Amino acid sequence: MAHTITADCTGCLACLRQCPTEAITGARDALHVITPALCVDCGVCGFVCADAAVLDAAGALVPRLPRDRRPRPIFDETLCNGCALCVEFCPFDCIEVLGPRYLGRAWLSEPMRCVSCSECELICIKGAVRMEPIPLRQLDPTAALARLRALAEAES
Amino acid sequence: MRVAIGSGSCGLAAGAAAVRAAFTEGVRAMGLEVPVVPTGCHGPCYREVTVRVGKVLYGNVTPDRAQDILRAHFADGPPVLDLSLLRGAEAVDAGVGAFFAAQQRVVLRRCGEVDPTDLSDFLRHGGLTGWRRALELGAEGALGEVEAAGLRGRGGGGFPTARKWGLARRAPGDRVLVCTGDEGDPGAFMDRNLLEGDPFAVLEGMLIAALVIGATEGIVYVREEYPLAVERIEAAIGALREAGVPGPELSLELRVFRGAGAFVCGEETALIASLEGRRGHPRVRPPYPVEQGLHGRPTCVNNVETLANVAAILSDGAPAWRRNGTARSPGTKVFSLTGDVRRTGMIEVPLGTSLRTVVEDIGGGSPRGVALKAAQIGGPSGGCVPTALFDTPIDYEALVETGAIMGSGGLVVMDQRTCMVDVARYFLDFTQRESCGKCSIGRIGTRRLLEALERLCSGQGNAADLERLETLSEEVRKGSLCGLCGSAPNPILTTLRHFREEYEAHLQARCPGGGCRGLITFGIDPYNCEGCERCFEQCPVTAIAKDGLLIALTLDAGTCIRCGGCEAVCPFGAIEVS
Repeated sequence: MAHTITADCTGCLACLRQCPTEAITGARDALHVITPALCVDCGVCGFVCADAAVLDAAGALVPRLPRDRRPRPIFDETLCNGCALCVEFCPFDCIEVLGPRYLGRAWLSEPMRCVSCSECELICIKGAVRMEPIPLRQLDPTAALARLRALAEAES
Repeated sequence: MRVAIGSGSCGLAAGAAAVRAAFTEGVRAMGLEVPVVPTGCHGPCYREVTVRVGKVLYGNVTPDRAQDILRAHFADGPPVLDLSLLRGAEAVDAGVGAFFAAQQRVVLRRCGEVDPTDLSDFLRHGGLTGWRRALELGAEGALGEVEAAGLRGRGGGGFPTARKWGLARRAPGDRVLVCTGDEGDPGAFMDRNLLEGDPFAVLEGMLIAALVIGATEGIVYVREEYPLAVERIEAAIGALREAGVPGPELSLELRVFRGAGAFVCGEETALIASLEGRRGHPRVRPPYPVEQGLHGRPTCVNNVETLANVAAILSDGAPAWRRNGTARSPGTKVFSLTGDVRRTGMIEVPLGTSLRTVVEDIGGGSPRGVALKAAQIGGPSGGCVPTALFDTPIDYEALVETGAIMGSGGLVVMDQRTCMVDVARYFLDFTQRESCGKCSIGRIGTRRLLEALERLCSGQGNAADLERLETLSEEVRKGSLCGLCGSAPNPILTTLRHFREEYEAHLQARCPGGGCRGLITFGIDPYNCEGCERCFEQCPVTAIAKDGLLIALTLDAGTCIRCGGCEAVCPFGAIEVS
């Protein structure tokens, strides 16, 4: 199954640039097309779309969700072991691990690059990633890093 | 059954000529005996090109859809639902349904229905019945009918037409009738559409007026900027002459005079000066033109829409015509609805209809989904009516109470993203340039008013400017020779009255509406930008930069020239104006 783009598309290229699997092809002002084999049904194209032109796998319209209101990954520090699978999977390099692999913790280091594709949540074998609609402007990577550092220091 | 292509200037600009060619070709290819005729504007200009086939009105018609539409009507093709607007009175498109629901088309009843170049078509649609009835009633009777109808001049002033005619017919001398289509208000296109869409109705009104006042010469004054209107009215005069109308009962020579497009020539004494071949300068009244006008002859000046109404009154009878409108302001009024509304176009509503009905029900509110702020009614002589007063009924007196005037019928709607000081500046810039320069208070007064507004709009204004706007406006209003400069301060006075806080914000170099280019800065909201790069491609000065890694783009306020192009193209509303 895959998402599809309707004729309402005005060809703004926004979904194409944010698709985590580069499944969308198209040119400026031309109808964009999703390659079904590449689509992972993450729904980002629908969140982005200002033309209400994206249908999900079931054929329902995906409502627009402004970037500020989209879900972002929250890492549970008690479950995460820093295996870095999410770091490797993240298509936009938003995640980093603090500390050595398998002994550290992951954190969202570049929230402004995150498109809310939920790939990190899907790949996490520890169930440590949760997608929550935290306003983008409340996500402060420096504060998050400082908190993790303090936590690591307290443990060692 | 026939195919009527909306071929007013609006339709032609949207490609009506190509659509007509496609329909003509389609009809020929299918071997049909269906006439394809160009008509005037159908009304919903926002859905041009409009085409009527039988009972169905289509919108946004392109040449490649002509085949589909023809097949739907004349072969066994499926109905073209995506372009259908109306089927008879039933709305297929909800928006267009709402557009027409509150309207009452009396003057515009044939506009879009008849072929404006064909007299026989006009006659088939009930044309000249008013003229024939006027002949039966005689001059006295026809005047009585117009008086009973209570028709008031549709050019702006609202002077009772019958009274004007009464004065004109009593004046001794060789009388002249002038029909003025010198429509100069920004945002007004009623007269043009009427002359383009139903020129015979205007001429019918002229015949009746000439009969009543006993005029021997009838002049249609149209501005040169309306080439199609000039062409159609000239053709219509020729067609009437060929058909022998008027007959022996009235000796009337009709002709067209092309104005050079000066706004002041909408003022009747300036218009007469222009007809005499002189500069369009107004003169002191009295003597009024009805006593001494063109070359010293008694001259009756009536507006295009007034005369079209006369034809309707005589053909329907005064009681039927009076059913629309209020006691003080009977009848209907044509408006050109433009600005920040979803549905723009030519509308006609009974007088007394509230502005809210016109703006919200017919117009459909702001297209940007922003709250509305005001409606500018009456052009540069009119004023801005704030949303709080939208329940004001549209009649001559009620509008004057808000500070605006009925005017000729331009109605420009503005939403929250409009700066009212900038609006006042725009209109003063217009009247200052259009001021004829004859009287000093008009010439210099409008100049000084404009300068004060320009200072405010660039953040250089001070409290003295605000005070000067008030006192000088009053002086210009009282001291000007004619209505042009006399009403020029109206946009300032009404915005000052209803939006004073915006003026005060400009004293602190702030523009709450975001309309003054000198006082605003543009920026990109990084939390909303989706990185489509439309603004990047639009920006003429490359003030917008993209970072390959980040989604959001950035805007350099130093390089930005505040053209607003990015804001116009952003699909996400991520351009911030502050």
